[in-house]
Amino acid sequence: MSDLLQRFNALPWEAYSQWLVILPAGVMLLAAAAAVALRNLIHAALCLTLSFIALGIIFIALGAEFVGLVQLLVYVGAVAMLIVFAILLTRPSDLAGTKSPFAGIGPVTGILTGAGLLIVLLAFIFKSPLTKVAMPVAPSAPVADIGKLLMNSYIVPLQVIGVLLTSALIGAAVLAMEDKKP
Amino acid sequence: MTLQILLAISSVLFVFGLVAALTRQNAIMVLIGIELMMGAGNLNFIAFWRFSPHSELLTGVMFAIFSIAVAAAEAAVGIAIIILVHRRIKSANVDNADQLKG
Amino acid sequence: MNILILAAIPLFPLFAAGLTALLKREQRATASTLVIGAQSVSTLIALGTFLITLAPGFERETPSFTWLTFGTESLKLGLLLDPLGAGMALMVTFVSLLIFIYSHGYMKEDRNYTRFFCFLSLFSAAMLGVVLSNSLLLTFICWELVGLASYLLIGFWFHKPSAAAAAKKAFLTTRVGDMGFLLGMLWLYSASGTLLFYDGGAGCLEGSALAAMAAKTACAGLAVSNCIALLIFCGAAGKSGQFPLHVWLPDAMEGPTPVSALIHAATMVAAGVYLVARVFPIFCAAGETSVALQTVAWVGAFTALFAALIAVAQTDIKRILAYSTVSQLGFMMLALGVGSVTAAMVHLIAHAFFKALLFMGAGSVIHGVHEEQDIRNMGGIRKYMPVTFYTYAVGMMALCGVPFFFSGFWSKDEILHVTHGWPVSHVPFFMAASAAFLTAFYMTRQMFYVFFGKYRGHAHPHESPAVMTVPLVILAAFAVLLSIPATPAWPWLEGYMKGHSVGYDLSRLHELDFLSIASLSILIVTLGIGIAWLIYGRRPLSATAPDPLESFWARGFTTLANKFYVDELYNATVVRALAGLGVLFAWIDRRILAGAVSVAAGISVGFSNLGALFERFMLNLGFDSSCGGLRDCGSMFSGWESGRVQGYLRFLGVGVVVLLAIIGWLFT
Repeated sequence: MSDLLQRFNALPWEAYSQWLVILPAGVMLLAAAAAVALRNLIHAALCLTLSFIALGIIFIALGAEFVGLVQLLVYVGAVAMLIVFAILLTRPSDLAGTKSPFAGIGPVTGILTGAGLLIVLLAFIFKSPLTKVAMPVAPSAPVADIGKLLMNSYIVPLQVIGVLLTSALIGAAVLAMEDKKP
Repeated sequence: MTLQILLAISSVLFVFGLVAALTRQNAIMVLIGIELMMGAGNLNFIAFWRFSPHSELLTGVMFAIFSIAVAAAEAAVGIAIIILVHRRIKSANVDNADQLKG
Repeated sequence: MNILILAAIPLFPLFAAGLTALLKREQRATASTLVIGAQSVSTLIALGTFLITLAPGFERETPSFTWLTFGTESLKLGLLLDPLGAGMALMVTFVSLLIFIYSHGYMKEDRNYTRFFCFLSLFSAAMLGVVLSNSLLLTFICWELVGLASYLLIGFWFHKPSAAAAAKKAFLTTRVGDMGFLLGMLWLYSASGTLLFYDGGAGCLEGSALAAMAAKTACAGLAVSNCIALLIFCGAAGKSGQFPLHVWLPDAMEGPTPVSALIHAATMVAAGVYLVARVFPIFCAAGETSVALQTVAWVGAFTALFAALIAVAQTDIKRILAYSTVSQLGFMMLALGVGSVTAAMVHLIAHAFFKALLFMGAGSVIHGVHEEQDIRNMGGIRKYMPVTFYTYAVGMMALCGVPFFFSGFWSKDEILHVTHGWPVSHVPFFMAASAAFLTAFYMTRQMFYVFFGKYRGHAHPHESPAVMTVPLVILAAFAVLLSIPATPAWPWLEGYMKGHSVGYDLSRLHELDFLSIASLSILIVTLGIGIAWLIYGRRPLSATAPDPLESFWARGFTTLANKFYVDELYNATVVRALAGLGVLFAWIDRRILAGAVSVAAGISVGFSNLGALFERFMLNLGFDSSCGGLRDCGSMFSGWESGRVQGYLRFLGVGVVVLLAIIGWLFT
């Protein structure tokens, strides 16, 4: 067993580590595009799920394993499911949807805005000196350290998140409650 | 694998999310767009953490964790609102929710 | 002499007046006790000061104080204690006290008893101020206060229109005289630099100032002292009822009888005589027979005769006495005019006692016949009111000048004596003698109408209570007793006034000119009483038939009864002129001044209307239209709100992109 592990570890990972990011990135982007453009809502939701999975893999590949797993657990396991349920609960009366899913002049403005933003952001990214850094040694993010940080430096944000989640839970439940008939 | 490539990827993802939020008619689609944008943000955090000189501080990681928690809460509340609005106007179309029209 | 002791004489009644003014109408006993008590204290202090002045070699004391200072000049006020003032003060306080006691009985049924006593006390304080003052300014102040008290007391029953009119008439007529007084006072101050009478040599009645005033001449070639004296005499003539300012005195009988007795017989009207006596040095500064003194003498003689004539035809018991007072004041002024201050003052003091007695007797009669005042409706009162009759008879005899036992004889005789000796003219002597004859005549006529014969009225006459009759008796006693110091045999009063002691010398009675004048006056009195008896005493008088004198000479009698039509003359001239002026000024006020006011008001209303128009059309409309514009703008902007969140989001996105682009462009 350890021999296999040794051989596994001895593989030229470094050469192929970038592909571990590039390939899931491509899948993510394609799935995102699909999620944006598909008319069928369920299909769009499922593409979104795929996109989230790919993003989680990217996180793991970049060394933030905990975040990646949290991404897979929360986003894929909860948010995406939530979206699917919401789609199911809010079915429009006409399922086919004669009209285009894009509203009026909206698509033009949206795409133009997106394009513009993309150009600006890329300009920022490729022009700024901040981003011209060499890749450092792979950091390690052990869960124990994350746990320690959560309990020491980030205790207040932790508690706030707790309150936030609690209130979100209660709020959502209250909002979605059935109207009480007198 | 440079930082710039990672940032570019997250920018594209963000723009996809923005386009979805601005152009799609269904409220759920808008929510999907928002989630995409938040995911892009998380990717940014992790990218910067990966390339930061002080990555033992785990700042990016912590931020990303909290961001995911908030996104989850926000998605839940947003779904609840969409369901509630759907109950009122019998449609999930954002163009139909214009009672604040002046 | 501390000024406070001297000042206490007028101040006690003044405080009593002030306190009484605060009392309620029902606190009658408190009021009368306060007032009579204060007056008694004043009388005692006056007696004390009188005794001080009896000391040999006493000339005068003048405590004074500085009242106002302006720059280097100052106004001083002060009180004067000399024989003239002390004697007068004693007389005033004593007679006032008796009259106050009498008033208690007379006014007992009146509702406003308390107010009456308050005014009485005020009058007493003011009168004593006039008597004791050492400064002409203080005299003037108290003079006006006396006039005020007289007004208040004459018009005491103000709800009677005749009483209110009489009070107004008294005040206005004396005011005319007081104008002259004020001018004289101002001139005196400017001529002599001080208003104090005696100030250790610097007073206005003393050497240097007096000489300066006599030397300078003013208008019409008169010396300054004469002009000032004449002006001051105007005030005295008003207050003492000399012609032509006598018209208020008979009307003043509208007041209650104690008022008539006190003010219009004994004290206030004597204030004029006292004033002339006080400032006598100014009168005679330009010589013993200066123009001022001559004027005083002629006015006095004329008034004496004039008033005596009118009194003959009057039918109101008090009016007869009023005209008699005017006549006797004329006698006093005559005495002053011919240069004898002492004769005038002696007659003043004697007259005060018996005239007060006569008035109070008349009041007693009126009270006894239940407020009837017409003598034709009286008669035979002698039987019903004996005490009143005897005391009244004493007073009447003193007034007429029945010889030897009555003070009036001696004082009037003295006046006739000095008038006879006047170097300027003998006419005043004859006028005075005629007046004396008429005095005896009309007093006897009054006696016959009131006390003798059969009672012609409708009431049941009864004697007055003791509180009224006892003062009558006391005054009657004085009327007799004062004859003693007034005789030439022992001219004590005269000597007291002049400041030298006299001895009893019967031989003076035998001097020739004294004897001739005395026999002449005895003859006059006998003639007067006799003729009156002939006309009125022998046949019974009736209430409705005309007066026997009237049937004798109707035209003359009606003229006398109508007071020589002087009031009517004044009404037609002065009063009409003033009324006309009043109408003119009212017209000016109503048309011109009110017009000016309404023009000004109209202008401001016009401005305000203009402002309102401006506001309505320019401000309001402008404001409204701008608000409308804002509203339209607002609705236009709110139209942009589509209510669609995604649309807003689009705008947001575009904005962010643009912003980022700009930032990027700026910072790279």
